[in-house]
Amino acid sequence: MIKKTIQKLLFFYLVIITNASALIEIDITEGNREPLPIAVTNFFYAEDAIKDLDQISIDVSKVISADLERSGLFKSIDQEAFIQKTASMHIRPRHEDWRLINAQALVTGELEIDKDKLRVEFRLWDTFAEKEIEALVLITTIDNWRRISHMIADKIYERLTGEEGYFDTRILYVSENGPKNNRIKKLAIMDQDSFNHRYLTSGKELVLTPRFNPVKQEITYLSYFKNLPRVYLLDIQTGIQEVVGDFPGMTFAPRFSPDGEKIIMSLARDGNSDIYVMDIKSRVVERLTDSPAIDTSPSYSPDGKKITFNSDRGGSQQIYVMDNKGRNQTRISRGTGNYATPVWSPRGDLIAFTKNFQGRYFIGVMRTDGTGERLLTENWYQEAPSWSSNGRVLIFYRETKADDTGKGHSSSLWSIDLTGFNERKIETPEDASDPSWSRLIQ
Amino acid sequence: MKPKVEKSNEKVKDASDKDEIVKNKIEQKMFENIPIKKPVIKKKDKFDPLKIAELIDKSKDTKTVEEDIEDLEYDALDSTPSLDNKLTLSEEDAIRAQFMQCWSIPIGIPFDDTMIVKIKISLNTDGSLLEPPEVLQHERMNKPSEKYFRTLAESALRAVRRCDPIKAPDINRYESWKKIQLNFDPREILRG
Repeated sequence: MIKKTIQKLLFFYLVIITNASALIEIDITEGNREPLPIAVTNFFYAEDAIKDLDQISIDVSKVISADLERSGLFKSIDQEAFIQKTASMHIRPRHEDWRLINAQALVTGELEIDKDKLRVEFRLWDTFAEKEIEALVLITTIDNWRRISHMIADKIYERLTGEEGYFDTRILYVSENGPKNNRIKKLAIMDQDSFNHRYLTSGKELVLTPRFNPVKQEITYLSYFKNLPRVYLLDIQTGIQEVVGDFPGMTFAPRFSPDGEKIIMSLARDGNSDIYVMDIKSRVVERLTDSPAIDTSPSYSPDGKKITFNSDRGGSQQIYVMDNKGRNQTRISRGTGNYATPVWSPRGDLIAFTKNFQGRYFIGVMRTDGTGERLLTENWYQEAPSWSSNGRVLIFYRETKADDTGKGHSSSLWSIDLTGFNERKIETPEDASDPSWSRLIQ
Repeated sequence: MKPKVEKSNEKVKDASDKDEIVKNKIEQKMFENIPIKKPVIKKKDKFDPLKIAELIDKSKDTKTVEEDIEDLEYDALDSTPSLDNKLTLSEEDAIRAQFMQCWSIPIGIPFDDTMIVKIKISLNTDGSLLEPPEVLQHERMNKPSEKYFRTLAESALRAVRRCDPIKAPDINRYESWKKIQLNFDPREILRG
């Protein structure tokens, strides 16, 4: 009995000792979803600089701020609130001053002209850890400052969010003008922030569905030549254009394979549309599907091993996945409604699509096995999603309905991120459709 | 379908592509040894610097993080009796809520089942940090191949410093909360 009592007491004592010395663990599984406050300062330059860099100093900061804000993940702090304003902050910021205005990160920079070249040095600071976490020097021609700014924004985005940025990219689209039954359509290209806009074709011929080559500054698009669909390749650096071939029955331009060496397309032959792949160099065409149904809009997975496409073989338009030889064709979309324009994410984890359900159009994403379908945005008419290079944002186009007199119709580009928030209109000089978003410019 | 090369009439000049951009990493050594000062914000200060941001940003209509934290009253929340000196569940929840509000999750990190950052903190009786927070997996954090983990760990460290000082739980139980391990675990969010 005494022994048992002693044992109990000893056990109780041990429990108390253990509890007293145990380190409390607290799991933090949620965070603040507010955009991260960041201070982007105007870049400094020496007063005796050969060229007046005042405007570039302000503009570089503005472009970086705008890029970061547009992502929806950052909030750029108003420069009016800045306490430290001296050039010394580029070497040694007073972190307490920046914390005081709630900046979690600080961007400083310096400009210099060196033999007619612009030298841009930037630093990213963690104001709470009080240390520099990223720094880079970029040297380029002076009029290339805008691109340098996007590259800096990409570095900041990558360092603070953990994923590659997508600001040093371009958007290719079809610019539209004129009445709906007589639209003039031109190919146009611009930076992702709508600057450096220019037209690639004159508008004499109808152009459709331009697409970027993922590995070089080359595009493919569909245009009509003597009323026959003709596929072109255009090198946007040199302006050299090449005809891939005439493809009767083609309604969408091809898409490139991830290595840029093949193009994949749907072709209607004998009234039946199937998926084909063509090697660009040899022009050898291989048929991948052979179903009596309409198989269309194919898109490669980023590793090139699989292809997603659209088919009505089951009675309604649905999304399918197969391997790159056309084997193991499996339906993955399961919801009600019609699914179209599947596009594989560059991250490989999701497929974006357009869905038509009860007269409304949705842009959505699902996992590559069809699970986890999420509809991101709904509207009267919208389609053709294209991924940002990092797989976080989608660009698509949306049309407004014409009234009874035929007026009021318009078409514009929009973007939305994977959370379904941060929907933004992308400015274009005229109406716009069929966007394609480039990978990061090399 | 023989290939045909045509010169386009609409030649496109793309100056930016031709321009060579030279990138160089800046030597960072000179900055590494800048001493880390302890944040000057003290719990007793009536002046709340973080509220300045709210004043500056008039367009922001949500309550600030700190307002939410101020509203947390441990006693009012606490319905579980404490038989010993352990933190009550409500006190734990209140600490958790503060760090959640201070943490901006780097949501771009690819999902990985090991993405969890463990940080040990030591607190003064007023809830301020007694010493710099310590990432328990610091070796992993410093590996060049672990850039995602580093980004995550840095975000967690920012949260700890941003929350400094936390609203202190019952001082009678100081022994039980003077050292805490915080597990910053974004896995559910990253899984999507």
